[in-house]
Amino acid sequence: MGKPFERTMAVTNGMLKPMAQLLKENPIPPYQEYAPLLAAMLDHNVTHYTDIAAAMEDENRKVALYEFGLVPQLFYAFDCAALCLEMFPSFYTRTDESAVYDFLEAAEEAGVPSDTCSTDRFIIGATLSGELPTNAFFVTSSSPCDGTRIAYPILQKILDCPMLFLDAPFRNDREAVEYYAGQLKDQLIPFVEQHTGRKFDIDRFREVIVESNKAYELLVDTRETYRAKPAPHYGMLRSAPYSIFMHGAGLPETTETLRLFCEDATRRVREGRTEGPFPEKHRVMWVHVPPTYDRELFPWMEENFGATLVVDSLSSTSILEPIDTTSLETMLEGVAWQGLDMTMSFMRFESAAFIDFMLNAYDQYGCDCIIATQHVGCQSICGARGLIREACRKRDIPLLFIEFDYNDDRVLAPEQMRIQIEEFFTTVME
Amino acid sequence: MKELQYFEEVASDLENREIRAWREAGKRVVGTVCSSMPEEVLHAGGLLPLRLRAPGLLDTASADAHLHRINCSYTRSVLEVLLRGDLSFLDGLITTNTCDHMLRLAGELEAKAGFPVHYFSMYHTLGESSRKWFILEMEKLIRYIEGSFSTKVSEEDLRQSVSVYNRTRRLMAELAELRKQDPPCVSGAEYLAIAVVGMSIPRELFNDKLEALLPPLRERSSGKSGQPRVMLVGGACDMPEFVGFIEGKGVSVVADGLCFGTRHYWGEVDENAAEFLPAIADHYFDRMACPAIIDGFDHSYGILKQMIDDWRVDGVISARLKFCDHWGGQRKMLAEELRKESVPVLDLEREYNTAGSGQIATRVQAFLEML
Repeated sequence: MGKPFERTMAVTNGMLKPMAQLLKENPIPPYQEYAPLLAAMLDHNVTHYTDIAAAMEDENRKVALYEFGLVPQLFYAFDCAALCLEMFPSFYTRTDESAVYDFLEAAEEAGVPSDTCSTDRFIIGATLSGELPTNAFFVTSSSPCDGTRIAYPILQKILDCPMLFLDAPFRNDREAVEYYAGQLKDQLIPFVEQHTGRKFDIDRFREVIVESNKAYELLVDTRETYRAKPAPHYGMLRSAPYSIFMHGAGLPETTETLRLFCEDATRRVREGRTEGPFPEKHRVMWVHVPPTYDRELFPWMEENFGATLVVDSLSSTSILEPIDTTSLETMLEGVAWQGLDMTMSFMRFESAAFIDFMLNAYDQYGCDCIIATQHVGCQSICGARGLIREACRKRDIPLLFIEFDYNDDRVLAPEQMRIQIEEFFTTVME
Repeated sequence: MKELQYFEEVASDLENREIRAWREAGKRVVGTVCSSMPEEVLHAGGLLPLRLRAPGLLDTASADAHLHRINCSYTRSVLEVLLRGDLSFLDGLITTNTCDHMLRLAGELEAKAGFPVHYFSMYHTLGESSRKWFILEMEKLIRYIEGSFSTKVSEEDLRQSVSVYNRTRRLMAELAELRKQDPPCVSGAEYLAIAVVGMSIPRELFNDKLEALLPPLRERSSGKSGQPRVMLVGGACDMPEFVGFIEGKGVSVVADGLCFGTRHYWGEVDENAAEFLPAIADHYFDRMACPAIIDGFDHSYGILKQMIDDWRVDGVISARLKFCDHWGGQRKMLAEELRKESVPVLDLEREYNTAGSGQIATRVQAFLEML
């Protein structure tokens, strides 16, 4: 067993930092125009993980390990470092797939069934392997999925650590937001106070929310540019602003990174030069998770079929108002709403609502086909398959389902996925 | 035993003779899919809550085209029954989101049922806020009942229903007591058949039938003494044949943590409560929690451990439905706690409608040898 977070920092310092530097100094064709944005995204990641490592060693700070039914603003208001554990596997799928195998195997050896979602097996395995940050507390909600609901109780047993369980309501209405916000106030704030030893400071919280609102508006404005045909930025960058927001909403460096993306995209739209290196022939909506271990997939789709990823169901379907800073209650409701609808937590929607969101985004961004992945550990998206297919048939929307594992490339090799995509674009879409 | 035949026959048919008689009398039947659904509230609206099952169903070909092979075979079976038109006798249906399988089943049922469907948003923690949420959901359920079936649900109706349901719980507790004997007066398979009948016929009728059954059962001498005594846990197990298959290997299933079995009937609602919805909520929160409740393990384990002691259980069989994450996690935590107590655990995977297989038989036999 290694030292906590050691492997993560080795990748951060040994791979992400040099990659960012390389992109700045030697942009790689044919996407050289976008190198500054890629480098900014990598720099943001480096800052994020470096801050977590620093907080582990700081007796005046804590690391908040939270689940993907929450957003981080409240933790930043307590000066915590924050790590969303459901986003942690994709750090490794993009950089070191062997670590993914190690963590999955560690979980299975400990008795977690192999048909459980690999994200949750990864988190349990990383815990058993001693990779999770120390000096930490955990906060989880009951959404989005069954895997989450078993992973965190198991983590609590393994680590015997402070853990707060919140109940995410499986409705998406005003009452649900108020219910969740009430738990943030009555349970989350006292819990974080207890484990950080700090008193909640509403003025500091408001500062963080104001900062996250700036970032959110930049995120929404960037997404707005994706309606342009062709869409600015290539597919590999599509979910980057969202991911940056989710990691760092409320931090000034997040706002500045998102500003770069937004300014670049709006400038391209304004100047009428949104086309990338390859002509945009198809506008693809991606439903559910992409294969993060295959960084070259979206460029390959663009080069071979003119198929640009314009929108994905995770990062782009929920459009909310900026958070109202009038009172503690309004701020918590805003944070609750973001946690419930902007994260993977939206998978808690009833099937009809989920499909409405999906089709609404499909129309808003002028897509002409859908690729829907069926992550083999996700009973929720797999179980929605029949209704998604019926909805698409009714609208005559070309649809491709791909069964794979989001984190484990041994379930469906990247080459095999590409064969399915190639068949789709050379038959259905021709 | 003659008196048990009635329960075994009724358990083998979803639209059983009592349901048909109920409907012929002009009364209405509403399907439910989860043990955490507060049946008392439906009963208070004059409805017959019927826990959906798929006895005798052999394949799920039509449902597999809508749900996915990684959705559990219970949810696919319920959808299959609907798609075959075998739920057309229902007047309504309550769906829920206990797990992801249920959530997506809810979407399919809503799209294809053809009769009023109400979605009940289930809680997943045991705290005070989720208790309030549960009460809010019960209020919504009452509005659905009143709106869809032109009826009124009063506090007095709730009180009467709670009384009827508590009577069931007391009778089922008496029945469970009979499993403490060696040999037990009632086998595990017989107990499960009786338990599912309780969810399948008018409750007052069930209470009378069960009350009449208990005296002859007490007098009964059956089975072999000295057999290993096991507890059965797992999700969506409503097949007496499966329990009978295990018992056929030379073991007595004397206790269970099944949501179609003991867990469903555990505890009572406070009949002296000033308000009944909060009292019903307290009851559901106090009983053994479904593994979908993320902070419910310690509470449930406390009850299970007490049962293990009281029913003198030698080993636990965990029969997880394939692709059930909740029972996958629960089994892992349960096995670790029971290891500390030196209680052996057998981990089985099963499909909803499979009574048994050669592989399960071999593993049960090996487990018995260990016991």
